[in-house]
Amino acid sequence: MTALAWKRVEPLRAHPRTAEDFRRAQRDGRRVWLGGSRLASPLDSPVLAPVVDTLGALLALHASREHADLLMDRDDAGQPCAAWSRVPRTAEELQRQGRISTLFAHETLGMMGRLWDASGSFVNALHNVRTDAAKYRPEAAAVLEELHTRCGRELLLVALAAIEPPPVDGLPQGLRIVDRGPDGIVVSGTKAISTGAPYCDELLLLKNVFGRDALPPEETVGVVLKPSTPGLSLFCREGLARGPRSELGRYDEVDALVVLDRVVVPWERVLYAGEPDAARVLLEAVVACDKHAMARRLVAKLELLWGLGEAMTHLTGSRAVPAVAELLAGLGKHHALMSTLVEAAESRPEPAPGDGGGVLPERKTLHLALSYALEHYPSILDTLRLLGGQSLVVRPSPEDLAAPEVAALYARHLKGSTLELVPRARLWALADELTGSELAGRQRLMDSYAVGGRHILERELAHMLDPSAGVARLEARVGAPLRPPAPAEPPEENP
Amino acid sequence: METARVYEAVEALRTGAGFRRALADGRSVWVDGKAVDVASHPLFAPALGVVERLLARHASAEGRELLTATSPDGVTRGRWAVPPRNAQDLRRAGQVSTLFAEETHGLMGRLWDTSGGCLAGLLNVAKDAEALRPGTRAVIERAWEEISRGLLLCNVAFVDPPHGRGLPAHQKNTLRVVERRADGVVVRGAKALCTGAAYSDELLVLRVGYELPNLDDSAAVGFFVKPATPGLKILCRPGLGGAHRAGDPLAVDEVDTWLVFEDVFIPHGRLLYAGEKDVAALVWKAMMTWDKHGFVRRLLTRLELLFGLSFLMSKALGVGHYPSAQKVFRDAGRHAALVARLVAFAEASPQPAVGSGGAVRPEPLSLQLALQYALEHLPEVARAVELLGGQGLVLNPSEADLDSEEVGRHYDEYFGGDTGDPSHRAALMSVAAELLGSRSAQRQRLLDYYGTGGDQVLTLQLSEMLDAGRGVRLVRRLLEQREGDGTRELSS
Repeated sequence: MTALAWKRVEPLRAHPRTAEDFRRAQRDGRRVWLGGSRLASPLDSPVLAPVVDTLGALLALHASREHADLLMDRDDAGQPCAAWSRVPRTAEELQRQGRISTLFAHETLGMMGRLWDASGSFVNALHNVRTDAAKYRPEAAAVLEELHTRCGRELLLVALAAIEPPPVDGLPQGLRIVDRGPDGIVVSGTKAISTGAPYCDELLLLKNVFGRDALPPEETVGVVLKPSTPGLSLFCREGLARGPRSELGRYDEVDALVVLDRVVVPWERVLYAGEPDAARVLLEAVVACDKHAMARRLVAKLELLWGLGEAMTHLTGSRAVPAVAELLAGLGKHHALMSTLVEAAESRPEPAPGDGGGVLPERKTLHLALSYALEHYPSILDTLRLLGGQSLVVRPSPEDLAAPEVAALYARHLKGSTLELVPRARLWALADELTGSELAGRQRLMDSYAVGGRHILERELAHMLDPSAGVARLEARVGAPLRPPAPAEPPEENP
Repeated sequence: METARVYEAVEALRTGAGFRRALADGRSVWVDGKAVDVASHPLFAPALGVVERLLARHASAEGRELLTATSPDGVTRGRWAVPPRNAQDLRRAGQVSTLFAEETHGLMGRLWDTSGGCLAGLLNVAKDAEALRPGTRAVIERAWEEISRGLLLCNVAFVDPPHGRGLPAHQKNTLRVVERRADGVVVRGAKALCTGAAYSDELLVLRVGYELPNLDDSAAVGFFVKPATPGLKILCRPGLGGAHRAGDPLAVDEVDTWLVFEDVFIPHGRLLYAGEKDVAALVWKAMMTWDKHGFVRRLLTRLELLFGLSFLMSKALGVGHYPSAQKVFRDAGRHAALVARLVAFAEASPQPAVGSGGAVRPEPLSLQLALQYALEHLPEVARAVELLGGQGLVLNPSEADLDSEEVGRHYDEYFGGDTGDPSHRAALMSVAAELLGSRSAQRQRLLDYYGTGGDQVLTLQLSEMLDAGRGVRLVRRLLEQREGDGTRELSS
């Protein structure tokens, strides 16, 4: 079973990739399973098809009059490419990347974390360290160059698979090289979770080597694969949307288990195969770039939730209550603070890992922003639940409002605003989904899990914070050194 | 409209079959715009299953002693409705709540312990209410007698629909008396968010106490009513989903409803008050005192459940040796232990309940602290356990996956965790996902929070219970010691 090599570079397209192109690409024979059954293609699943449509709509934005300026650019060869595939080198370019993330977040209500902005940032980060990786594996540079060019010009969506499955009897279960040949390597094993893998264009599989002793060479493997590669299977979780009534079902970015069963990977798709230093360089680059798009998405989400609070209290007429006004001000404050921190981080860029000249938002400020958002997000949801209260639990369904007898009862007794009952019920349904659905719960869990939770963020932050100025003043006052010896590094954990 | 029935004789110790039979009384229950039969509609199957199981517990050899009480005259009642007179009674009432919470994994808050507590509270103020409104005592005593002897499920409706504050009073459609007759009153309007009304035996409809000063007398109305009373419609929310199998203990969904009263006649024999705001205020005060005991016991059960879950998940995921995983279950255990101690202390230190009936309640400050502490920390514990589950909660193989030959063999190979058995791990993660992130769990969390008014209201209530007097005296003494008499003006 051999993975496809890179196809020949296609002639330049007059227009960016369309939704129809993306739909067509889904019928490439990829082996996608849901509920124990194999799908003919993602388009044949009621869970995946609406998500493919959402992605198609986002692709259409690239060609739209309103957003093409933001979303499209030209690469170093002067060819049209996506702006998210340009490695940012200045504060202005970082801000532009941020605006792209914000646009995608607005379009998807902040519910999708694995769109082109995130996948573009992974590919850009890898591109920025290509010469560094090449010190340990010379062929890696060309693979990364090809991946970067192709993703930018063809608007390819890349899904990342970096998380390892839990060990069985203490033995790791991740990817391993089971054979090597002149044309490439043969890989077996699994990746525990890859979001968006069932409908992506390329899969980036990186063996996670953080916090481990040196892995045996056969377990140190990173590759880029087409989802339709023979021997590769994608097992999806069940859909989380609440049936056809769901307002958010089209944003259910489906997570999948990736299983490789003796997959032959040609050398031009291998990033590392036994070179731990190359693995380390590439993983560090990916981890460092991951937080910008997420921070922008959280800002957009906090803004939406603030608006939701305002709208709900407008409907219930409770805004005049002092405690409610205070809660609403709190929602606005969280958004303003987060937004300001992200802007500040973008305006003070730092060099990204690697010598490609790319930059990242200032790390400490971005960390503070994320830590703040994850710390306050649960209380924001609690506030919204309290503001919504009874209406989040009992409200008329579309069927209720379509039944004349029941609709008349609601019209008579559910007074309170000038807004018609149908849009009002729809707003409550949306509010309920945003604050209390399994889909929203998954997104919140993934936001936290993706950065290792608050305790990992805060531990990372502790390394960035420097108390030495305060200590120096105290030392000067008491006339003796007060600094403790540097503590030993805590053991790493796989979050 | 026809006269609502007063009270009927019921069988001695009720069975699940008897409960189901009672549902076929012509009640007007609506789901998704259609009138439905409660006994056969799938929306209610989980809740009816729970009620039947718990009724069987009342009659079982091991449950009878805890769940029922027999008075000297030989009458057997639900213990949950008997007003406690001492610490031992309080502890047993708490044990009843814990038993119900364990049966429902803390996901049902409206069972007999809640309604029984409310009834016991009402009974304790019956004499006081009689002094304000002759006739109310008889209504309370009769309702208590019927409900406690018949093991009837009574749910309370007090939340009003969300009204725009800009609307004039006459447009608000607040539930009110629209006609007075010699034998009773006619009421019209709605109550929002009455949990479990569709399968209740009785409904207790009350006016919220803090709204009373802003209402005209016609809106101060409280009464008992049968769900099948003519003119009363019960509008239900849709189900909360969940891929439950038949008999799945996690299939728990107490359905929330709206009650719409279209000129419903309430006979005097069921009327607690109609225009007497002082009675309404007294009844409200009595009810609020009793509601918190069962509430805290249920939250404690949920904390204990999360403690156990975190331990098993960390074992199944093979992360039990990580310090951060150990912190998750240590914290869950610490929070559960602290709440348990506060509850035990509150029950062991009874104080007189509102009213002159001689009943006691758990010591209010400790109970309030336990409630506030549990509500404050439950979400944090749930999030930590959720993070512990991580990928396992998001991407968990379904039964169909494990049964499929092609998919199942991959899960067999890669997904056993330290137990080596993917079906065990999948079952555990599925339970965890249901308890942490399902719509039922989210709804329960929302209602826990909303039911107490949230942090703001709890803190306000707590501040009324806290006494800074001792600290103030100490500071005054200190000031006097340091500054002499010259600071008296300041310290006063």
